[in-house]
Amino acid sequence: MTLPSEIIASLIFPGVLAIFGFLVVAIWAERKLVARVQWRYGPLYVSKQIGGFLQPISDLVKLLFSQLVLPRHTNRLLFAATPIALFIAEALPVAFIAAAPGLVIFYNPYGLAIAIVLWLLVVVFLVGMAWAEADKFTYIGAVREVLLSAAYEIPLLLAFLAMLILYGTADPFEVVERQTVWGALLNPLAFIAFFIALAMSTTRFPYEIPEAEPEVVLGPYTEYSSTLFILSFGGTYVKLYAGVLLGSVLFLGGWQPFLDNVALAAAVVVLKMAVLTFPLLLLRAIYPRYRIDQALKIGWGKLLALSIAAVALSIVLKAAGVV
Amino acid sequence: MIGFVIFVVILTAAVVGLVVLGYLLAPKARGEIRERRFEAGNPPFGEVKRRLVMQYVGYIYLVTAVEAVVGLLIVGWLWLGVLNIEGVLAVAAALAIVAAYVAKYIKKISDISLWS
Repeated sequence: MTLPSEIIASLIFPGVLAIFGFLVVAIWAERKLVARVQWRYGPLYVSKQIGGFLQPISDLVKLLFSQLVLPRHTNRLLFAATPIALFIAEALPVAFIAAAPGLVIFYNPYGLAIAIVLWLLVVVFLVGMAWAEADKFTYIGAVREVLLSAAYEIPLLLAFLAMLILYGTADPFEVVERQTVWGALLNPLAFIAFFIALAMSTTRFPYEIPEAEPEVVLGPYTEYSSTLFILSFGGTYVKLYAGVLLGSVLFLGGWQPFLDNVALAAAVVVLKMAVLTFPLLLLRAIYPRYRIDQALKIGWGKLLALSIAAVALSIVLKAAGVV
Repeated sequence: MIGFVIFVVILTAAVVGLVVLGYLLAPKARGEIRERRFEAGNPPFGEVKRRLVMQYVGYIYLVTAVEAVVGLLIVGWLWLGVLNIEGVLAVAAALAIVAAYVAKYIKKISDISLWS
């Protein structure tokens, strides 16, 4: 008996198992990459033979045994529930993005449009969580998060519109099948705009503004400890996972050139996701942090101009019959 | 649909299970200091409520107006599905309006001394 593909998708890839796997790999890779740039070893002593790969698992176990503090001044039910809701909200866009031929959790012909709208809704859950924490630092972090979303939402949507014009569909499978040439090569302006908006959306450096440690402790995550900290702070990596999955399908040809073999196709998508993820992780070691007013100026200045140019380029390409 | 239900149920069970497991395994010592609001090592003082940071509110006005236009363009394009002259003109006109609108107000909005 074989399992239906949507159940495989929901349980393995791009579903639950891959999400938690990505959490472990991305956190380890980020610490290791940044350490290399800074001439350090990074995670090492836990599983030394495999480069400290099990360090995130060790951290998870440590946090499992650390006390779950529910502050007295909060509504404790909301305090505990909002990180769970945030984590699930950050994972929901994944359900509408295909990861291989026939491998999607919930097929809808407008799937990618639904995914991008769900992605933009995450900030609402994050503000709710920061409000439930009722702390000065979480309040400042929440306001910064809202302002940052005001900087990247329009360029992100315009980059998506540019690709929509090229492909003529938001179907998660058709978008890949129509990429005889990768979207990133057809419309590099849209790809660059998407990549920068993705870095802003997942608060990667230089846009790590809402949780800037030297300024606001950990911003929206300040009051959390133990497993609730894993869910709240770790959720940003789930958002990153959803973003790079969408990016690899929209811009890097998804599972091309393997249109028939599901296992090979999924492996190619994983590889393309890694190609998108590593530069985003490396940003931490390269850039200083912008101020929020600088991020807003970039979002409403150069990035907006870039994304409008991307839409114009798509119209020209389409009108010229290139795609 | 069944895949989506399984995805949401398993994911929810996993994250709730993680929290419950942590709650069961970890120590549960209580204390006033441990459970009070984080104030970077100081005793809590004053209210959490603050005046809303207004110097960037212009950007919020801007995103509210522009996002609706871009959202309509996406829905419109999905509805049409194919390139035609009306569609191109509609997108070009909408983007020209957005660009002109932003260009007109961005300088005033980014001058935060006007808003604080």
